[in-house]
Amino acid sequence: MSQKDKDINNETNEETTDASREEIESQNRRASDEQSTSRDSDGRDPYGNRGDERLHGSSEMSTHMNSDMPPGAGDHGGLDYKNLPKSTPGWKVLVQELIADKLALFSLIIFASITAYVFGLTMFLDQAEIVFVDLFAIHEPPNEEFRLGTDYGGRDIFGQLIIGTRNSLAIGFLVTLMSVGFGIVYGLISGYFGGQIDNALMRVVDFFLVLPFLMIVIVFVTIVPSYDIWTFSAIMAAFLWMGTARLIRSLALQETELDYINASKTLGTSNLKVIFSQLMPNLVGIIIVNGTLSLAANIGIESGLSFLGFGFPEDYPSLGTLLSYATQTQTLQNRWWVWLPAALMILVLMLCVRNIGEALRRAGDARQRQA
Amino acid sequence: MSNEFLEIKDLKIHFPIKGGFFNTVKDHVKAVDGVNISIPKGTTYGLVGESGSGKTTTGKAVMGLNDITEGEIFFRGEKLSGKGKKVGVNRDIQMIFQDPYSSLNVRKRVFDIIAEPLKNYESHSKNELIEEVLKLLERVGLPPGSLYKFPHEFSGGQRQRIGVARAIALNPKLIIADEPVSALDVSVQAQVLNFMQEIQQDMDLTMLFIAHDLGVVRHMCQHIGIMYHGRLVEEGTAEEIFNNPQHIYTKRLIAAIPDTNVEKVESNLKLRQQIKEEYDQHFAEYLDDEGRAFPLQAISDTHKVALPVKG
Repeated sequence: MSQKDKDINNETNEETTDASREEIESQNRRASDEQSTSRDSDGRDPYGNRGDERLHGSSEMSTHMNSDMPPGAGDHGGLDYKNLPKSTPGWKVLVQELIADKLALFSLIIFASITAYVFGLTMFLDQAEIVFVDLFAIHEPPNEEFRLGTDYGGRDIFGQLIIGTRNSLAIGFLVTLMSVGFGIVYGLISGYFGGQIDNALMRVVDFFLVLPFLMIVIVFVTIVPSYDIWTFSAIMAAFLWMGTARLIRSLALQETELDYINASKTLGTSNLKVIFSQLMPNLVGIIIVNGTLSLAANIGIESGLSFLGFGFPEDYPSLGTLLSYATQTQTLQNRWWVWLPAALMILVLMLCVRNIGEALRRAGDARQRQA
Repeated sequence: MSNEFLEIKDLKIHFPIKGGFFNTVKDHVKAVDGVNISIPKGTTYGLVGESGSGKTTTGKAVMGLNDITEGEIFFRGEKLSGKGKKVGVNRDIQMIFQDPYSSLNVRKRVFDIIAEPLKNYESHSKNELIEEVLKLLERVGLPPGSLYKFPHEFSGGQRQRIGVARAIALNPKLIIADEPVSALDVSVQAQVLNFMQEIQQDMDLTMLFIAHDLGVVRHMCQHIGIMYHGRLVEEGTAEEIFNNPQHIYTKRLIAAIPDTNVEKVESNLKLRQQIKEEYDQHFAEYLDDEGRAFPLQAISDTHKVALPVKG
C-alpha cells in the first residue's frame, strides 16, 4: 500500500510540470502587483492549506489569490465589486480532505477509472454476441480469444464482467439518486414543518420500514414479465428512501430551531424557498456523505439479488449472476476464472466507494479532519 | 382606533404541556399572560425582565413567530392578529435577533444575506441589488470588501451589524430588537448600541427593545416596562422607573445595577442588603393567590405599577 501511495505522489507531482509551475509563479507575481496598491498581500487562508492548493488547483489560481487577501483589503475604490474577495467555499474543504487522505484519493482514482473504463468499453461491446451460447467453447480457461475464459454456455466472461459491472454501477447510481433524492425532500419537509405534518409523514415511513423489502422485490421480479434498469431501480428505490428521510428529518428539526430560519421567515421568504435555499445548503455535507455511503450498499444489493436468482435473467449480464455460478462445487474448485473476477470487482468497488464516503464524512467534522 | 404606533392589548400566549398515555394537553405554560404595551411613533420602548419572563415571546408574537392565544396587536391602527393565529409577515416590521451567530446562515455570503429581503419584496437587477447592499454596508459601518465574505469571517459585533443591515434593508417602520447586544462583548455593546440609536434617529424608527440589562435600557429607551412571569409589574418613562421605582421587583433590579464608584461600595452594599430583606419578606404580598402580578394601576399619567389591591 505504501508503495502505491508513493506512486500517486509521483503522479501528482508530474502533473505540475516545470512549465506550468512557471506559469503559476508569473500569475502570482501579477496578482501581487495588482494588490500592491492595497495592503500587504500575504493574507491568511481560513483553512491554512495554501501549499496543497498551489499544487492542485493551478487553473483556479487567479481566483484563489483573491481569497488570500486579508479581510478588508478589497476596499480600494469600493465600486469595482466584481473583484471583491471571495472566501474559500465549503466544497473546497471536501476536496482538500480527499486530497489529504491518500487512501481516499487512491480509491477515488481507482473508482473513477473503473467507471470510465467500463462505461467506455461497453459502447464497443456487442451484448448479443457476448451472451450468445457457443457449445464448442464451454468452460475454456483464459486464452487469447477469451481473455478471462468462458462459462458453461461458452460465453465470454470478460465481456460479461464489463457489462455486468456497468449494469451494477448504473443500478447503484440510479437507486441512490432516486432514493436519496426523494428521502431528502421528504425529510426536509417533515423536519421543517414539524408538528402534525411531521407526525403523519413519519408514520408513513414507519409503514414502509415494516414491509419486507426483499420479499416484495422478489415478488415483483417474478410477476412482472420484463423489466429494465429503470423499473428495477425504481422498485428498489421505493423501499430504500426511509433511512435518508429519517436522517435528514432529524437534522432538519434541529436546524429549523436556529434563528436564521426565523429570520428568513420574517423577511418574507416563502416556505419552499427557505427549505431549499436556506435549510438544505446547511445539510449538504451530510447529504453527500449519506449518498456516497448508500451508493456502496446499493451496488451490492443488485449483485445480491442476481446472486439469489431474482435479479436480471442470464442473457442480461450481471456481477451477481457470475458469482452465482460459484454455487456449483465444480466451478468453485476448478474454474476460478468464472467467479473470481466478479468477486474481486464487487470487493474493490465497494471498498473504494466506502473509503471516499468516509473521507467526505470526516470533512464534515472539523475534529476528525486530516487536511 | 388609537394614535399609538404599536399597541399590544391584553396579549396572552400559552404553550400547552402535553403528557400522559394519549399525549393530551395537561396544562399550559403561561409565557405571556395579559400584557398591554403601547409605543408612540419614533420612540424606543424597553422591555426588561429575568429569563423566562416572556419578553422574547412578546416580541416574537409581534413578528408572527408565535401563535397568539388571546389578545390583539394593532400596528398603525390596523389589527394584525386574530385569536389563535400567527401574525402575518409584514415588511414594515423587522427583527434584530439575539444571537448574531445563529441568525446568519453560515452558507450564505453577506451579499445574499442582506439582499434576501430586497429580493423578496422589490425587483432589482443584479447590479442595483449590489448597489443597495453596498449602501447598507456603508450605513452599518462595514467595508465594501465584506460583500462576498461568509459570516464566519466576522466578529460578533460585525455580525450583529450585518443583522441590523438586513433588518433595515426594507426601510421598516418598527424594529423588534431582541436582546441585540446580550451575546456581545461589553466593549462592543456600546458601539453597536450607539450605532443603533443613530440609525433610529436617521430613519425615524420605532423600536421595541427587549433586554435584561437595565444599564443598556437606560441608555436606549424613553419608556420602560418591567416583566415578571408573563405580566408587566411596572411601566413608565425611563426617569420614573429609575428614580422612583414603586414595585419591589423593580427596586431590586435597579439596586442590582453595578456602580463603578468605589467610594459608594459600602453604601450600595447596604442598600442592596436592605432591599433584599424587604424583597424576601414582602414579595409574596405583591402577587395574587396564583402567583401572578396584580393588574397595573396608574399612579401618574405615564407611570403604572402592579401594586397589591388595598383592603
